[in-house]
Amino acid sequence: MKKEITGEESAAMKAQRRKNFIARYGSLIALVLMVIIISLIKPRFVSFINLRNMFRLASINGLLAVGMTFVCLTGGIDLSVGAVMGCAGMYSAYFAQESMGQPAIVAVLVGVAMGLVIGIFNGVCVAYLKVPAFVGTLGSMSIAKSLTYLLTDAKPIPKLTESFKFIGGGMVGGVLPIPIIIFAVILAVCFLLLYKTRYGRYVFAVGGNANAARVSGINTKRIIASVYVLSGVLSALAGVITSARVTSGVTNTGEGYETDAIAMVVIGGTSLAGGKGRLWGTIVGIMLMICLTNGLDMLGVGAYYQMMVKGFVVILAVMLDSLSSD
Amino acid sequence: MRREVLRMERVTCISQGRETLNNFNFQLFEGEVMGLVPLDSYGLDEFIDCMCNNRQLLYGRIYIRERLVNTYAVRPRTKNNVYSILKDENLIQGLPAADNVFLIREGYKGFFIDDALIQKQLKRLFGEVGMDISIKKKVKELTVLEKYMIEIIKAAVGKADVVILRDVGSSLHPEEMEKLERVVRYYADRGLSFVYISTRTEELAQLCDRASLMSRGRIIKILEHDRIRENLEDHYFFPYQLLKENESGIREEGQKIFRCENVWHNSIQNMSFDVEKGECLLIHNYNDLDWNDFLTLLSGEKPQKGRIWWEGRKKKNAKRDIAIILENPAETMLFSQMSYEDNLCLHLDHRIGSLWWSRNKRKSIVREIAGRDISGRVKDLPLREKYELVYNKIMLQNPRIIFCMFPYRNVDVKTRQLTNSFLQKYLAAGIAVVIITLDMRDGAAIADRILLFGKNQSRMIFGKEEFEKIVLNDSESDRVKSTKEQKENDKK
Repeated sequence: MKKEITGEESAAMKAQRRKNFIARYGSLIALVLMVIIISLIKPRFVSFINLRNMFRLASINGLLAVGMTFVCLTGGIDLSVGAVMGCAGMYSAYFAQESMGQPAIVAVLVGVAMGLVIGIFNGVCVAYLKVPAFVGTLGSMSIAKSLTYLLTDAKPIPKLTESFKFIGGGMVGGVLPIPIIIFAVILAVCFLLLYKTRYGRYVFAVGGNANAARVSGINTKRIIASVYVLSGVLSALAGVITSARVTSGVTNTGEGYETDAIAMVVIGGTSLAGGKGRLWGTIVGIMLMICLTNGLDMLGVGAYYQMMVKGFVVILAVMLDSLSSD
Repeated sequence: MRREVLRMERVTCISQGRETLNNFNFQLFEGEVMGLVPLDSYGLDEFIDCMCNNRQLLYGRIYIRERLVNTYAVRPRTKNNVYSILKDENLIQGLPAADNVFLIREGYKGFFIDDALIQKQLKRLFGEVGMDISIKKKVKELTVLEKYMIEIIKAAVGKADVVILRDVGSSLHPEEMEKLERVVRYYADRGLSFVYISTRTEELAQLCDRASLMSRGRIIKILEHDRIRENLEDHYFFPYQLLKENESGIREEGQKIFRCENVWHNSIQNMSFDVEKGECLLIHNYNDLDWNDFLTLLSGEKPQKGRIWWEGRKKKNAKRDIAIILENPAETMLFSQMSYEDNLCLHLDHRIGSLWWSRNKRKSIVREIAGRDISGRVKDLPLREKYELVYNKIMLQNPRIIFCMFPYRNVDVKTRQLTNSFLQKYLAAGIAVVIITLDMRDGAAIADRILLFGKNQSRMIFGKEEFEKIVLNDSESDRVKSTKEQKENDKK
C-alpha cells in the first residue's frame, strides 16, 4: 500500500512540475519556436533591419503593456491606455508645431502631463470612489478621446519641430533608435520598482489578497491609485513617441492598442485576477505578438486572418496558465 | 431497526502527496446527529469533499442509503445530495429567504414564480420549528442564527441525505445554540441526518447522539451521548489543557497603549475600552456589531463619532504598531501567489533596511524562523505551516498591540493549541493582545481581562480571577445537577 501511494505521489508531483514548467515557459518556448520557423521560411525575418523595426514597434506597445502589467497585478484593468496614448500624442504634437516655437521638452511634458492627469482621474475613480476598474477606465477612455477630437476638430497636426521628431525617429550612433533606448530605461526602472522595492511587493500583495494587505497596514487605496497613474504616464509617453515617429499628431493614434496591451500581459502569464504575474513574461508577450504580426505579414497572411490567429494565441496562453493552477 | 444513511469504508485519500484520509470508517444512521471532533486538521476538508463531491479515492468505498456512490475503482462525476453548512456561504445574500429555500436549488424546474405561495410555504415551515423570521427581509439583513436555520430548512426542503454543520456554534451565543438545537432535533426526528463538526465539548454534548473522534485522517474513537463530555475532557483534550498556562510575565501595569472612546461608526454604537501594555484582553460581543467596521477604523478610517487614542495621542498612523490577525488566517492573511520569504518579510521593511534588494537577507530570515529553506508558493504549504507563517510574520513585525479576530473559530484542537502558544509568545514579548471572540470560553484561559458588550450599549468587565470564579461556579452547579439527574435515572 505504502509503495502504491509513493508511486502515485511522485507521478502527481511530476505532472504538476510539468504543468508549472509549461505555464511558466510556454510563451517563451512558443516565441523561440516561432522565430526559428519563420526565419527558416523567410530568412529576411532575422535580418538586422527587420529586428530593429520589430524592437522599435515593440517599444511603443511595450510601454503600454508594462503599465498594464502593474494594473493587472493589483487585479484591475485599464481600458483607457489607447485613448490616453492618442490624447497625449495629439497634445504634445500641438505644442511641438513649428509655429508654436516651443522646445521639444515642453511638448513632451505636456503630453506626459495629460497622461498623468487621466491616470490620477482613473486612480481616484477606482481606488477612492470604488468605481469598478472596467467601467471607470471605459469612461476615461471616452473622455480622453473627446479631448483628442476637441483639440483640432479631429484634424491632424503636421509640421512638427525637428527636435521633437528626433524622439521618435532619431538614432544613437546611427544604429540604435531612441524609442528602444527610452523603453529599455523605463523597463529597467519598472523592474527595480516591482522586484526590488517595497512598493513592488505591495503591488503583488494588494492584488493577491487586498483584505489581508489592508489589515497589514498597507495603504491599498494609494497603491491601487498609483498603478493607474503609472499606466497613464507610460501610455502618454508611448503617445508622444508615436507622434514623433509619424511626424504628425493623428487623432486615431492608439485605437485598439488597449486590447493588444492586455493580450501581451495575459500571454506573459499575468493573471487578470491579480497577485500573480511577471514583468519578463510581459516582455515575452510583447515580442510574441510583434513577431507574430511581423511574421504573418512576411508570410503573406491577410490582416483578417491575422486577427483570428492572435485571438487563438491569447486563448492558448490563458489555457496554459490555468493548467498550473489546477 | 435504524436505517443506515451513510457508510464510508476504509476510505483513503491523498492530497498534495500527503495521505489525508487513512482507512477512514464512518457510519451515520437516519435521524442521527453525529458529532465529529477533529483533533487535528488532517483530512477534514477531504472528508467533506468526499461526502459532497465524490472526491477521487485511493482506496475504499462510500455508500449513501445503501447505494455505492464512490469507490477507488471508478470515480463517478456526480454530486451527492449532501448539504454542507459553513457560515452562510450557500445563501444568496441579496435575495429573500423564500427565494433561497425554494428557487435556488438543484432540480428546480419552475418557470413562473408565485411569490405569495412560496412565502406562505416558508412561513409554515418557520412556524413548524417555532421561528419568527421576517419573510420579506433579504438574507443579508438576517442574523447569523436565522441564516443557519434557513440553510437547514433549505437542506430539508431539498431532501438532503446528510447535512454537515461545520463549527456553526462558534458564531452563536449560548441561547442561540439552544434555538439551533431545537431546529436540528425537529428535523432529526423527521429523519434528516446531521454531521456536527466541532471541538467544543459543551456543544457536542448538547447536540449530538454520538461523537466520532478524528485524528490523522482516521476515526480513533466513537463516544456515545452520555460519555461525550467526560471522555473528551478527561482523555482527549487533557494534553492540550496542560498548555493553557499564562506566561505573560513582563506586563507593565497601568500603561495604556490603545483607547477606544465613545466610538460610533456604522454598526458600532458607543464603544469604549482601553488596552494596557502587554495585557491580554478578551472581548465578547452580545449585540449585532459588525467587526469589519472596527477593522476599517483600525485601518485608518475616521470614526463617525468618538475618538481612538494611541499612546495618549489621537491615532493617526500607527500602522506597524498595530497588527490584525483575521479569522482563519491561513486563508485570509497570506498572499498565496507569493513565496514564503516574501510573505514572511512583508512587514519587516521598517526594521531591516534594503530588505528587497538582498535575497540573501530574506533567505537567512526564513532559515532562522522556519529552520530550513522553503521554496515554492505559500498555497502549497500544509495548514500548520501556513498558521505558523502568519503568526511568525506578526512576531517579526513586532507590533505593540495585536487584534486577533475570532482565532478559535472553525479550527481543530491542534490549531487551537498552536494559536494559544503563539498568543502566549506575543504576551511574553510584551505585546498586548486583544482577542475578539463569540464564545467566552475561547481564550479565557490566557486573558487578563474579559470585556462583554451587551445589548443597548451596556458593557461588563471582569478580571481573570473574577471570571474564573463565575465560570467555575456555573460548571460546578451544572455538574451537581447532572449527577443528581443521573442518580434519579439510575433509580428509575
